[in-house]
Amino acid sequence: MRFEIKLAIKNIKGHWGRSAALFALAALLACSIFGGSIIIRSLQNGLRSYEKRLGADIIVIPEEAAGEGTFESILLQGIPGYFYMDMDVLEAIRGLEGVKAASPQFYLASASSGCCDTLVQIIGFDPDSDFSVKPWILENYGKMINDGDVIVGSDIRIPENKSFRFYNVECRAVAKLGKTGTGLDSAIYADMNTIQRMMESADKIGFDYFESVEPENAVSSVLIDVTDGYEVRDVARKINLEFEGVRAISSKDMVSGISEGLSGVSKVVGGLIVFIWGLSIAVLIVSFNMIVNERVGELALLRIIGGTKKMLAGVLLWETIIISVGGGLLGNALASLVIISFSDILRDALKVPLLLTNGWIIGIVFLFSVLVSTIVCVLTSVIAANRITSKDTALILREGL
Amino acid sequence: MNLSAKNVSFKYYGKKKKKPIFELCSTSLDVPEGKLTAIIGHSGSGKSTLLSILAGVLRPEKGDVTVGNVDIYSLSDRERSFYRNKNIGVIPQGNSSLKHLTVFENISLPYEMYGDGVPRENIDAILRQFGLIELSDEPACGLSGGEQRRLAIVRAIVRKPSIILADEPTGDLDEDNRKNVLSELKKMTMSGTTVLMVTHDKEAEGYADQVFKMENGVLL
Repeated sequence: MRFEIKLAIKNIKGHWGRSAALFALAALLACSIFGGSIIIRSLQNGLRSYEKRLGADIIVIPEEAAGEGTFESILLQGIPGYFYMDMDVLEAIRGLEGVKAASPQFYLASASSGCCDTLVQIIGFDPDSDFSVKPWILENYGKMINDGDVIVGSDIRIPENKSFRFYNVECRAVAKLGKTGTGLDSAIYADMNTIQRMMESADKIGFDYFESVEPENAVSSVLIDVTDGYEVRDVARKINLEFEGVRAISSKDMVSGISEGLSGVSKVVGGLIVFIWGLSIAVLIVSFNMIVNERVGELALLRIIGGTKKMLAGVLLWETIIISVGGGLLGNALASLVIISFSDILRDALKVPLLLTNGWIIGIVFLFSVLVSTIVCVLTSVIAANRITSKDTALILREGL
Repeated sequence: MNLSAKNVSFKYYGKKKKKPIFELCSTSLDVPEGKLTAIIGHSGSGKSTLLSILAGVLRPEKGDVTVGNVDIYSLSDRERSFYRNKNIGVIPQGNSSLKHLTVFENISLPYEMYGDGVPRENIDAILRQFGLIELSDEPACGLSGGEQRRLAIVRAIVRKPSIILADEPTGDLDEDNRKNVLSELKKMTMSGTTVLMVTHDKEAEGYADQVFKMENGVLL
């Protein structure tokens, strides 16, 4: 091993307090750029996945579901909920100009009592008219589900016997959907027949979900695909004018609302990164200068026993590289652990979709942030190292080591 | 190997760099091979500055320094550093060690610096001679002032350099160790080593083959 590296390691070990402080700063630098970038990318990724999973131009829901945010809570936070309107709305919408296709969805929150195995959001769809869920099911399962089959969101654990019971209706889990970073990851999808049986059974055993609507005539939302050439917002406006008690929301408006919130979050995260970097760089410059002043005698000693200026700079440089790479790796490892462990909590706290970005992107950002923080540490230490190596050894000797 | 300086001069400037705060006047000096030469003088008289110039760590404004037949300031920093490592042992003023390294690691530094093998037995023998063998694996930060001084001496002489430049080598030492160090330096001259020491120590003069006095940057 080269002398400079060997001595750098001994110096790091010998001054563990000083090294630990620099290590922590390097960790903070790397962690802030890595953590911040991954969170921002994951938010963008979540938003993209949310938009894809909605899969419709317009969603029509009962007015009260839109007002109280029930619908958004189901989609974004996975809080089980239910709301119903009369099936007549579906037929009326199908007859509207500009509506290419309309398909119903049924939302049923499972109960925590003995009739249900687990508390989840159950979403029913009509396989004949659906254009929103079917593509995802075909992608993950390869075929359509049968009566009594369910497909589960990525956050739901499938039991060994693959069986779920909701309102005393037995279902078989046939596949798991990919992660979306939204509340839909904790939902279960069933076809129309299955969910109708659950709804009727729920009604029979005393769950008063349906109020004035008959379970067999109840529908939670209508997903609309707008005919090419028609403005989505115009069709939504028309529905809102013509139908009482319902709210038509365009997917773009839903996404752009979240996107605005997301841009605010991104600004806060970006601001935090800039603040941490500014503070850390200032602390690094001061620290390296203090350390170098403290080590003037040490380096002068190496000079008089035959060390070249290049060798001295090499020792300082290797110390910085070892500390900043080590600190960067540790900082990023901690940031990864926190982000992976708490991404769901973060999603719920921010109330936005958050889907962790691809592994290879995480890897690239991981290495990039270690590299950037190492470069910053090296640059700040070079300023201090240059000062010390240009200082006359004789002056130091004259002052006394 | 003899050491000579011809008409070397140097000025230290204050922070504003207008007026020199110290001036080493044109100085010439011959330190003959195998002799112990002493320069005595008060603090601030220029002894350490002259020593630094002779050691090759302070380029004089004028004049030449020759070690053997080599004009050391004609060498590059790398060449001069390498030359110093192999041929010149410097005992600086004060406690000079890397405090977090052990005594042995401090002594090994001149060898390790250029990838030379560390002769454990030789080092142990010299540590024993200077009463440091028991402290060999102790970190230098735990040594007393006298022990630190002895460590600096051992590190300077361990490679058996041709020339030894010692700045107050007996400072911080008790009577026995002072005599031991001076005798050792004297003994080294017997085997051809050239020794130059700058000192306040009147007793050290008694060991020297030639003595110079320095006052206000002038060698008398």
